[in-house]
Amino acid sequence: MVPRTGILAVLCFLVACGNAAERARTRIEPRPIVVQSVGIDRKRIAHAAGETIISAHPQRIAALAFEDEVLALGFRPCAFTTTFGFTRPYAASALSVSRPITPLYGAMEPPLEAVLSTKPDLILASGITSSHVSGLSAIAPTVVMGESSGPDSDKRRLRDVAKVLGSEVRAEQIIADYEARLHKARQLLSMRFRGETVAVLRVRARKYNLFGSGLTLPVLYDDLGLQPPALVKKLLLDKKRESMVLDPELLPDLAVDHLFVIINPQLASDRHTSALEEISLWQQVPAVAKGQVYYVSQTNWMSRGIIARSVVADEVIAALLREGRFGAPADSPQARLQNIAAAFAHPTPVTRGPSLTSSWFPHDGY
Amino acid sequence: MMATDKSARHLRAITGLLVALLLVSFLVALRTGVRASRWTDLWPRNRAIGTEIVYSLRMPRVLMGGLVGMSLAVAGALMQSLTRNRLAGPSLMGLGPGATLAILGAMILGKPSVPELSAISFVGATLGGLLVFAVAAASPRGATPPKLVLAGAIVGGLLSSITGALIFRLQLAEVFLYWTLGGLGTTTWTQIVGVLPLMVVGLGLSWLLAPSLTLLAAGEERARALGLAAERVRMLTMLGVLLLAGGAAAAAGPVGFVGVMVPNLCRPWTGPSVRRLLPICALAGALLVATADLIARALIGQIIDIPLGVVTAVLGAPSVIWIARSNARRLP
Repeated sequence: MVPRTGILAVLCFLVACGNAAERARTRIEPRPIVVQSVGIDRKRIAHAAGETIISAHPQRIAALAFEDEVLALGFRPCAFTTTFGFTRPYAASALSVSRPITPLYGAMEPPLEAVLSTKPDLILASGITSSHVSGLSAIAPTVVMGESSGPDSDKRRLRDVAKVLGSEVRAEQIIADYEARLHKARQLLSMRFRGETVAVLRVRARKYNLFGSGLTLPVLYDDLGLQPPALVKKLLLDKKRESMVLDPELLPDLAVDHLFVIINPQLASDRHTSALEEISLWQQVPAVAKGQVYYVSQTNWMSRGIIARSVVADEVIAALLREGRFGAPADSPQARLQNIAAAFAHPTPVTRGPSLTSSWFPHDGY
Repeated sequence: MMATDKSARHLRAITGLLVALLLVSFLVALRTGVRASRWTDLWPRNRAIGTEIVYSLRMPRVLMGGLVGMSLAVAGALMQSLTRNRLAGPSLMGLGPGATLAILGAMILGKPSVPELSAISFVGATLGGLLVFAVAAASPRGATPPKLVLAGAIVGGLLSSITGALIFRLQLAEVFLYWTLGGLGTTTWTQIVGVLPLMVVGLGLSWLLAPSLTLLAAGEERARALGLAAERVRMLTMLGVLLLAGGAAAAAGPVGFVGVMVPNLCRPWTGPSVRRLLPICALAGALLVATADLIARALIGQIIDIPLGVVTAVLGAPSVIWIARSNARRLP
């Protein structure tokens, strides 16, 4: 009996290993984008999945990834990928005529027929397997963009997309503009918030995540130069970790003056924050005691791209300067619950400060 | 007579051992966490942060683990006696799938609070259970135990696939993942107050029903001859299972295998008497879930982040295979 069970276990293990190995083989490694002209109206792009010849001026771009960058460069993609059924709120009106494409469940790969129906002349994809590239390539020339990490990754992403779309000059303008606005914001914040610490906590179904810097959230410490609390510095920044599960037992060590709490609009987050509210240790966190907790939506804060980053920066500035929906201090559990509702009602910030988002969609009411 | 005395002594020894182990696991759990604790932190009058951590974070979680384990194990014992099938558990009767679907529906339609969620979970479990009963009763010879098991599997599969379709359609996978794995990560005293009444009534009801269930398990004809209202006992037992499994699901989400595993591990010590089985099951269930949560918690943030449901499944799946292989599937 034991040997037979043992053999079964070994078989399961081998099958699991085999699947993992298969996936590792076909997953594409990132490579820098290199562009070369071919005649007047065509160019050859060397990218992660090989070389592809595309039109020099693509008209219908299916941005299955990097739609933020495509929008930033002034293009309106004909298709984009929805993550977990949500369109990035800040881009919702800009993408209203584009077709949302839901990735196939589990594989996170785009359904080919849906892509085909948008009649693209260029497909931008990322994080897919080589077998899927051949499927997409049959529809239109497909360029596979590499994911990069580090605080500069959003700029790298923008420059990569700009190379493919032939708008390098615009990309450099965008980056220079972002830096200039950041510079102003930094000056303003450093005068008013010298020495005060800021941190980001994400409330999930059964756990809390504390964020450092890096891939998802480079805005706070890298871009705006805000001070992290000692706990974030010790457990995350010094170890170059992006995030960690915050055991509520560590709340007494979270000596932070301003706390951004990321909530998921699909989740009954107020139920989970109400679990936090019940813990007396939460009430003793300086940011909570001083009414300096700011609820923000996951759809903005967990999106990548230069516009997403600007939206987050604007939201941080608005909150710290007490503007728009952040006007009243969240100094009671009731006030905090009301703020959660406001985070969903106003997914984008309103700020009188040096707005970073205003340049993207000037007609959308920013 | 001698044999009965001996088995009674045996049972007392087992009970004592389980109580002692449970106390030890509670004390260890109260002292275990990412923050080092001292024994003095357990003293409630203490004003230290350590004491606050013990009483506001660890204590509710540890107690809830015990309560959930107790409820699931007793619900499993009831189900197994009711269906005379050793592999029966709360999830088999459409209760788990019903509760899960109801919780998902509530999460889609609104943002339910904790007490609302326990109520919703309970209603969902009830509807799931009733549906199973209705399907089984619609067959020519009524809701016999094997038909209940079969109907449970059919209805459970149907409800689970509706849940799956909704999760897929509405892209709720990320959100729902934590519900489908189960855990006690954010347990508070309010949650305990919310589910405690369900569990207390459920446990009391099971204790009262135990002698009738022992009779029923020995054979329905004989039980009827002794004047037992079999249908009423079945309905009340289902109610008990609903209260216990619904309460546990509301508190911790689905925590698998406890209901199937624990009664089977306990039965060799207690024999066919359900009244003997239930207290042992309650203690062993509490011990199992409290310990599994301690393992899950001790690993979080230190090595890997794993949910409670995974720990109980890793412990439970092999024992269920063992039960299925080593025993006759029917109770005597």
